[in-house]
Amino acid sequence: MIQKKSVHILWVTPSTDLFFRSKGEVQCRAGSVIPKLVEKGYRVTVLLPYDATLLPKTKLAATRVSAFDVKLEKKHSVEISKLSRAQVSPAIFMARLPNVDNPLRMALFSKAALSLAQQLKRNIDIVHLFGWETSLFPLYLELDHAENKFLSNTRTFLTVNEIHDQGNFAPEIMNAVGLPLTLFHPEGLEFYGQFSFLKTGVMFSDGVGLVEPTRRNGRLNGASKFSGVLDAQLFKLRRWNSDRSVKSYLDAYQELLVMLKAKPRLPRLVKRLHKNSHAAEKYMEIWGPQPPPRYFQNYLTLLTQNPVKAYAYWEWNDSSFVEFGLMRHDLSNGDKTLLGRHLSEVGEFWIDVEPDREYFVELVGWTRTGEMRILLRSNRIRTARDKQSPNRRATFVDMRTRRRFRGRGVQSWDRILKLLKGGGTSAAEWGPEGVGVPVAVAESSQFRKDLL
Amino acid sequence: MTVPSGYLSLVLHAHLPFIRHPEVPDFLEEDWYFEGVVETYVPLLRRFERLRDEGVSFQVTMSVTPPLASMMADELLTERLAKYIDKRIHLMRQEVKNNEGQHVYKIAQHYLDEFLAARDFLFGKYHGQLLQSFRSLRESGHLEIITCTATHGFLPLMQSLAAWRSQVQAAVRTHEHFFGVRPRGIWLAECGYEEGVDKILTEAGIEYTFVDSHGILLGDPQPVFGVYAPVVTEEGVTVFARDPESSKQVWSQKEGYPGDALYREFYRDLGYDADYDYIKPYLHNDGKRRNVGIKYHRITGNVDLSHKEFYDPQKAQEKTAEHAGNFLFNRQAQVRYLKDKTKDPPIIISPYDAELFGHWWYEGPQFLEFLIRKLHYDQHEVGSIKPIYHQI
Repeated sequence: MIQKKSVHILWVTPSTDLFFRSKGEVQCRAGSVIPKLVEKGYRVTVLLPYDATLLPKTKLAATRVSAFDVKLEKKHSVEISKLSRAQVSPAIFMARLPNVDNPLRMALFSKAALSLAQQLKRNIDIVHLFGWETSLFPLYLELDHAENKFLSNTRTFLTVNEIHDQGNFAPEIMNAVGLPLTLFHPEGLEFYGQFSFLKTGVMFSDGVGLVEPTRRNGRLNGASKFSGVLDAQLFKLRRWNSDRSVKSYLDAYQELLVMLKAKPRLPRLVKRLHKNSHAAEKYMEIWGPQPPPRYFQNYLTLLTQNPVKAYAYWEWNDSSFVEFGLMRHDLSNGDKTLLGRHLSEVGEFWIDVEPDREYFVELVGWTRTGEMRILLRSNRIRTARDKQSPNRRATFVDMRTRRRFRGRGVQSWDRILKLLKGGGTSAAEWGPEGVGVPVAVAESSQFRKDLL
Repeated sequence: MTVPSGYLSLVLHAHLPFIRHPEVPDFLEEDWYFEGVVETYVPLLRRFERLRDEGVSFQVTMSVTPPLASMMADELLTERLAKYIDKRIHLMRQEVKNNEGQHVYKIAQHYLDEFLAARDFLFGKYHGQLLQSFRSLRESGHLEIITCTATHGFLPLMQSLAAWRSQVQAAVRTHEHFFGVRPRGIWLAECGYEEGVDKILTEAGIEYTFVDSHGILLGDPQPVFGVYAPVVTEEGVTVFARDPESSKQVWSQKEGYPGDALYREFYRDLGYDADYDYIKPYLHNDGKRRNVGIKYHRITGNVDLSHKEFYDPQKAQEKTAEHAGNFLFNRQAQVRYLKDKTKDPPIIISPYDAELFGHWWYEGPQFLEFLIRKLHYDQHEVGSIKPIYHQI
């Protein structure tokens, strides 16, 4: 039986949604699994990305803030703040990362997690990672910190909530995130011509929890190519119905803790990868040129996918904003909704919408002082109707006479049809009601689809 | 002459991406074009010409996209196409010789005849100028050729009117260049219609286009005649919509005709079945096994590829006639039901990817020929029509 009190778990999550600020201290929202884990005797430390809304109203003491440089291809400054006091569990930390493109930013987040793990000066039994954003952690751990005494026996567990979000980027980014290009190989980190964060996480972590509703909703279809990656790692895959069940977490942790620490994966893999970076570059050529990570233009575009889904993508080039969000405007009723807060300068977002409405979105940014500004406004879209229009006031055009008729006042289509079939080419034939009103029209058609 | 109670409008959308690689002698993707020509375009055109020459009246609409028309007119690709056909003829002669007295002999002979006929049609009759056949059918009034967005671009994803305009106007210019006339209609790639597209079409002199069923059914105001009569947009473009019933009969993977057990199996190919040394000269220079377009087996049923039974062209042809009869029977029933619900005779728009006929569904061109013959000879209830003529 494992002594739960000795188990120390570091949660590394890119989302701050499960936390809120309460009287100067950050707390977990109701329904979060963390308090339940604490109740069961686990010691939990959490690392989040910077979120100004979680900062205490008074300035943090210097002892609760550490700043350091992370060396990847270049040096980047990272700052970690402790949001909870003393030795309480969960201890909540927040990493303030530089304003760089999303893949590099998320690589720095994983590096920040490693630095935090060292700073804690306490053994970490399990590092629990969430989503592609944290997926480089296991590889970094193996490359740089496997010998570290606090991390030498650490297991990693990756939860995949949305298989669609894989963090696939141009392979050129590998240099920037400090990974050798030789790993860009089908048996390595390459995924259909791109460098995949999620594939890296699935390959190098000790356990993977795939939240299954994604599959039930059929959303796995679009990401079905990824099933090959998952199939290769079936031995460590756990399929979860939900990520809200504390039992799922406990089972996964217990299993990780009793298993032998896995041997480093990289030495076994290296034999099958590219011999040198030149070979990797030749391989990259097969996939052709990759689109650049950004175009150095400010834009925000909104597209409709179907009556209930829209898609926005944007790029913003001004480093004076530390955080970005997306505001959805529903022109039909004037509603404004803030859709997300922890977005980056270059990004994309799937948006829930309603059928037969008009929308636009705005990219908003927060300055270092927490002031919110509107940065970009998208084009307007109109979502498609998902059922028949209630409007039955069609205009009919007789192509032989080129005259158009309005069925004003005639609500019954049977009646309209009877009138049309009865001749329908002159106003008189619209019947004694006198409902037919001929109008001059240039088009030659059976009937015209427009509003009266 | 009896006036039909309703009309069937067959619309075939022919498109392939522009693939031309003069820098290498042997480029895999160029095979897509060669297969398209040999398996789809030539079989369709040969049959249309035969029907016309026999006095069968019919009207079919085909969109020929600018990239496809450009490839058909390209000398280099035509030269390579001739080599491709010659190579296949060589292979099939060997196959006929090697399989004498065996079951596949009849099928090999069938393929050899088809390749020889394709070569005669393409290079004997038209000297490699396939577009001439399209032009001749257009001029005789049997084929309405329409265009498509210039690069098969999906307009709703494009962010500027300039991009929309370029797609449409370049398409119109290319069409005029190859066919000598302005196109009256356009097939918008993936039926990608959005408010405002009609203005761009009108500017380019386009009179009509097509949308998917819900494009009209969910329109505003509600369409009185459903998808069985077109609507006209604010800018005066006539819009026809796909009939879901007739589409399903052909497209549906489960219920559709092409899935019949007697029809040819696409996925089992001689390129994988034959001895490697034997088939190697017909593969690409890299020597990798690939489809060579020769398939000896039929769909058989829901069995593994290794358990497929041999194909019988004769039995498949009989099934094709049966399916054409069934398709027509259903259209007659549809027209009978609809004729009292529309002012003018209803029009049933049945659009398909042209490459479905021949390339994917091997018996598809034969099906169309049977259908057209049955429309002409066996009944007067349903007529075939080009969409725009429904309006005149």
